Amino acid sequence: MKRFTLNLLLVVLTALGSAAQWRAGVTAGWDYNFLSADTQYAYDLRYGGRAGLSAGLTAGYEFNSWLSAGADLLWMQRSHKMRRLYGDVDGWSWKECDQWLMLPLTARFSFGSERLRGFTTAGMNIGWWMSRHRSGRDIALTPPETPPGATLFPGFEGSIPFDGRIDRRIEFAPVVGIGMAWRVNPGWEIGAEARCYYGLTSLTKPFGSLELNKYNTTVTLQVSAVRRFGR
Amino acid sequence: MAAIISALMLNACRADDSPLQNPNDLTPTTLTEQFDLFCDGMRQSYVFWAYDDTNWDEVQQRLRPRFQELDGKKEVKAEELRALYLEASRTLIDHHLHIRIVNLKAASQSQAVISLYPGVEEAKTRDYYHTTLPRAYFTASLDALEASGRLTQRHRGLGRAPGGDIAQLECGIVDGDILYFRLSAFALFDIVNSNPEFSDDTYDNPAVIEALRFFQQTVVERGTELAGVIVDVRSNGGGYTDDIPLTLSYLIPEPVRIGYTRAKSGLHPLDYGKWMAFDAYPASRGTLPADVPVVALCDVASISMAELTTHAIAALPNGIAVGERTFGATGPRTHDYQMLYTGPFTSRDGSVQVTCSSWQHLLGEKRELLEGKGVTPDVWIPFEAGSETDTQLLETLKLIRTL
Repeated sequence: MKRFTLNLLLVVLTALGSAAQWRAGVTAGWDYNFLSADTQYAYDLRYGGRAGLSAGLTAGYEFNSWLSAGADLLWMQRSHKMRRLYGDVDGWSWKECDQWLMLPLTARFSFGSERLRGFTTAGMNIGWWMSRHRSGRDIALTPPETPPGATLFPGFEGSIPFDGRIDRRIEFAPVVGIGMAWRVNPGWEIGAEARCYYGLTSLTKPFGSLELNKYNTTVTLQVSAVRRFGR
Repeated sequence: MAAIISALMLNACRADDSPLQNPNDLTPTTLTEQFDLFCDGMRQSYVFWAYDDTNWDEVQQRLRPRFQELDGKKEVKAEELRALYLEASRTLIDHHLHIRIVNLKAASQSQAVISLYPGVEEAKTRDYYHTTLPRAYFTASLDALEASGRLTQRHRGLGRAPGGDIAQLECGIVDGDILYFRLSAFALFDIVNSNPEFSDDTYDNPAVIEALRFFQQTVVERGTELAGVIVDVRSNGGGYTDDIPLTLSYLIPEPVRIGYTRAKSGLHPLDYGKWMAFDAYPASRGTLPADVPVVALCDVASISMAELTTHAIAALPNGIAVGERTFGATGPRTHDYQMLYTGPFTSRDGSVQVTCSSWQHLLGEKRELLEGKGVTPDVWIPFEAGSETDTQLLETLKLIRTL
């Protein structure tokens, strides 16, 4: 039994190795992020999605013509916006642009012809929330007879520091994708892919026994240029 | 179908939120339910969790069985209930905090309600603590100055705003060239704008407005002749920031940063918005010249707006604060819980009523958190209990000549 297993492993590795090929390249794209939060009785509080950009490096290892493993290292903007419409209060809103470092590890299943191939990807992403920047209007104490232009909701813009008691900066997210790749020649390939990152780690930590979560869901469209090595 | 099942499975991987209820919508029927409402309400509405080390879960878990014990009794004394709420709240830094609980197991009317200011209990531990000085104390103090001929051009009035806020204003010239201005509460904006004609046997809003106009006019028209201005906010219980343009604005030739405020931007206890600047601007009619000394006279019963005013004056190049360390209730309040998800809340039946700050406030350009601490004066002049004279004011009058 032990000998059979070893032989089987040898056959598989030989088969994979005979077709193995490395690939590495660059990728960039556009994304749209949704923030999911249950606002419960804060019925006037609305979170909305926002678009962003991403760019980075991509690398992979093709075991054979239909299976490969890949890893990307991406800088990605995953943003959202907030707006409140409470009673007569209007103008309380901001846009938040979050910068993330993403490391999606995926398996790719390819199909199609030699030059034009379709593929699907599935895997897990590890994300690191690097920074956040907000611009908008927030409520302020404004006594009467302040200079013209002063308002209950002055504008602001700037980075928001993280607070380790509430902000969870590491995120795990399953990622799935679908795309197409065109092999320009045996050494080069260009591709386009749509992905969805579904955050399973809340961006907020519990406050004692109180758990109020916020999750990111990000859809990306990215193009890539990849150099293929080996064989 | 597979996609739908996958989505549902993934969705199940996201943790459920704790169910929240607006504390204003609840009606507790037992002492334990009242306590739970108080704890849950504070968990959501208390604005200082970012700075307060109190382990609120531990407090609730530790004290809840004792409320359950009380529920098992036929009658509960107000003192017992009060002691438990004090134990729950005594480490909280919010000095605006006021807890009013209807005793659902009261044996008599006198036991029916408890009222508790945890901040006052903290202030009582200070070695210079004294109770709020009554209006009569200041009247007597100024009567003595007037009788001795030192106080002239005295203007005074006791006003009442439509909302019920009462403000005593005393103003005059001491020793010929020191402008003295005393206010018991910052309720002038409403008195001036909403009820300027009101007067009865007790209140006289026109007199208050006249005294205020005297202060403003003296500062603007005779400022260069003054040796100094004393703003006496001792035992001033605070009030509305709307009064800044009527008072502080006349003392500042340049804009002054009162501090920075921050409100909640979500239901999570630590979900805050941006720190926003809170500024005071010079009065458009004119201000005190920048080289005339301004002294804020404060005491342990100077609260909220009185503390903001004291701090702002002390930060002026020509300003100084004297007296005692103030109370330490610096977080502004609003009355609309739903607007900021913080601040005062009341159970639907009114049996649990909590008043607390709605905003975090860091004072001055240096962003000092003085909640629960108060503003420390540059020169300590403590109140002398039993003294027949107002030594704090007399010492301040001496001091201002040295500035």
